[in-house]
Amino acid sequence: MPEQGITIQGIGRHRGRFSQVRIYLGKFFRMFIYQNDWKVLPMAAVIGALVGMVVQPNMFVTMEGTLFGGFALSCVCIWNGCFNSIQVVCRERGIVKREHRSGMHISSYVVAHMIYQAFLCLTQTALLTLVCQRIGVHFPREGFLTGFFIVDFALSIFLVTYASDMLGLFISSFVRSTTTAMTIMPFLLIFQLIFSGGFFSLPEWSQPLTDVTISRYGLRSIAALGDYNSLPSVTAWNTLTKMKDTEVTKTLTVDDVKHLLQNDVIRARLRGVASPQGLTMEDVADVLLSSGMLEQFSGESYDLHVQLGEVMEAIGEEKVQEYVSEATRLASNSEAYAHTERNILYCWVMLAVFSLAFAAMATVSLEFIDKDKR
Amino acid sequence: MVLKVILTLIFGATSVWAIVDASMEIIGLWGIFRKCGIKPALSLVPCLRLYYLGLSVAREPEGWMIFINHVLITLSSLLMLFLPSTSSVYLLISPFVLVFAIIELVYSIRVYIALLELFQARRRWLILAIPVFGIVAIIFGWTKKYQPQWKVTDYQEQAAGLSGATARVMDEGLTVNLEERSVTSFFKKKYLLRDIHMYIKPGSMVLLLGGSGAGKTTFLNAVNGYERANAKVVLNSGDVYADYKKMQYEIGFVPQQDLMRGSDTVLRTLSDAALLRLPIDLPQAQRKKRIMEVMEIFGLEPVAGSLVDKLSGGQRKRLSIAMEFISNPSLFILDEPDSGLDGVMARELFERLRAIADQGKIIIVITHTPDRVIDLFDNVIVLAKDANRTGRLAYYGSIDDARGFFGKQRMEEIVMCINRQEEGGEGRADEFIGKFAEVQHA
Repeated sequence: MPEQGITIQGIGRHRGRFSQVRIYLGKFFRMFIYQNDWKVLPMAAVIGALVGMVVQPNMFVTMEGTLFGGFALSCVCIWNGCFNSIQVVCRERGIVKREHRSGMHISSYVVAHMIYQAFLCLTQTALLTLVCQRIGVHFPREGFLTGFFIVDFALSIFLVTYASDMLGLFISSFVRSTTTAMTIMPFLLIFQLIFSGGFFSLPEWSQPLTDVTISRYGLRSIAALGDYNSLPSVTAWNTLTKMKDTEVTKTLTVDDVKHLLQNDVIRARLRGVASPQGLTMEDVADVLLSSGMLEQFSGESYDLHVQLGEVMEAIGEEKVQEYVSEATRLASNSEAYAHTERNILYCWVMLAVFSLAFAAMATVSLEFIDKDKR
Repeated sequence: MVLKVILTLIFGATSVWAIVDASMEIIGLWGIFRKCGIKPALSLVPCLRLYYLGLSVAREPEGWMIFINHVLITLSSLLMLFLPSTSSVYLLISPFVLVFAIIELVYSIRVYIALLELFQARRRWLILAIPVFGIVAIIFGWTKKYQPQWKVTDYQEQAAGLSGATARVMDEGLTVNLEERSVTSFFKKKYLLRDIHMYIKPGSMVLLLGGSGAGKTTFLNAVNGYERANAKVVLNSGDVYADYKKMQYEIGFVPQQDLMRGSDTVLRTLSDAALLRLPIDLPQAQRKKRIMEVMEIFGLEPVAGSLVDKLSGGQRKRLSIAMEFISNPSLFILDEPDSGLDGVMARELFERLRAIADQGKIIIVITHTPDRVIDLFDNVIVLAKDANRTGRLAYYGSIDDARGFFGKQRMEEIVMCINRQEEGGEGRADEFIGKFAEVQHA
């Protein structure tokens, strides 16, 4: 054994938190290259492409398409984020404990993870945005906060992914094994999906739960960016057009007809319709009413069979579409999706707060690593 | 409503079948508790009787889990009595009751299996015990055919008394005065270690011996200050607990498993270990020199550029030790460094450790195969579980004196001698703990 050539002063000042962050960043990026961490990037692109293909026709085009697309993309982001980090701490818990024993600061370790995970999330965001654009998702030209819509959109995507990533990091910091982490993950996703507040009508008591879901703010920010409230609603009209062949049956009595012919609104409409003899339909109605012909058949009734399409044609299809779309749009309007700077910034701030809170909780949780039972 | 509340409190439910089953359970447990050495009247206490059932079959943690879940189910059931079945709170509680019931069932099955083993009954009894435990409890509790193999009182025997000794603190070397190391589990304090006092002089290589569960690793964690005990540990005049931030760099602890990142190279692993463990004001050239020095000491130069994942078992072990040795600690603790190594590699490793000790360091090593390298050790610490399952000091001194003290030639025979009888040993731990306490006191 060689003699030791240098004297090590064991009791001296050692590396502080900032220096340790650099050490761990190096370690994590080496893990990215040599281990399988890089695989989350192509996975994000593939999932993005699959979802993008589904949401592409109507995203930012109709209300329903925007809501569905926003929800689907939020889910993709939550999946990506959680999957990035849910195993990173628990898989090396023994190593973390050993290094903590050797002077590692838990805060440095978590901050290094935050930076490294931010890099992963940013890359995934870029990939997802690019894939959505290539697939043909209709991005509005004008941005809202940054001047470029795609940047606003990417920022929302990043914040949702990163908040989920930090949530995954937090879970990974307190579970003891990767198996437990992967068991918790589906529950986490289901909770985020159900309590997003966008799709399912939830009972009143669940409101506080929806306030703490990442998906809620993700969906809100994407829908608000896409100006959800000013987009046309198409569900009711689509349903109506599918029902064109539906037959409507109505039993009319002669008295009903008499009342209709006396109605001012209907009379005004009949006034504009000419009959073959050069009279207006209002004149015909007057003749019918004054001649006493209708009294002769009073009490009799007739079954009227008419298809919905014929009614729409009689009124004018465009007019019906315009009316139905406008009525359903107004009914679907939501304050939560208001296209205002304040609303979008609120969602972004909330997502940032979630990220910081989860990171802080992960730090606190890991500070107790020395209490682990063997 | 009052009747329903009373029935829920006593029997946990209000249905006729639940009341009948719980009544049979009470009658049966009365008999089982009597046979197992527990006060039979405890079977009348709602919920708590389930904990005592666990205790009577030596499954105390399971007993606690059943008790806690049963309390939660009872409380939930009580709350649900006062709520309309359509209210949202009622609907919210219902699935949780189901979850508690599933947990209780799983832990109950564990206890039932232990009960069958205790009464040497066949496993098929489980088929009856799961749906109607009351019947099984009555059969086991009140028939002469079924008798328990042991009683709770059997393992509450008297442990050896405390030594009352204290090791004198010296300017150099390691002094350990550990009064107790305990944990609180399910509201009960459990002693893991008690009454361990010793002084280890610099340059010693010490073997830490003890059976499974004797508290060897707990002792080492207490000595290095990471898991604190009610103790005073002084290393070269420095108080390990009071000045932990400084002293942690004076102590190297090599865990049993090779806890290193496989994606790093050997050189990078050591560089990062050096960055973490060496003082910040050490010049970079000196740090690099130290890394090279340690690589040479542990024979890692040929694999400096290899990924940790690609190393052999022996190389990984040496790297793991090198990571701790890089800061040149005064106290070097190794938890089974030879696990997974063949005899030749283990011998080579211990010779390296001996060389480190000869430089004035203190080396404490746990190993389960000490006899092949016993000539390299100066002293031996023997930890043993006393009658209360607490880790106690059965011996500390030279290897030769240990042979005389225990009347055994080989270290593995000493372990067998102090191990409990149910573990295949001679069950003489308390005898030697008491004997050594007298020696210390003298």
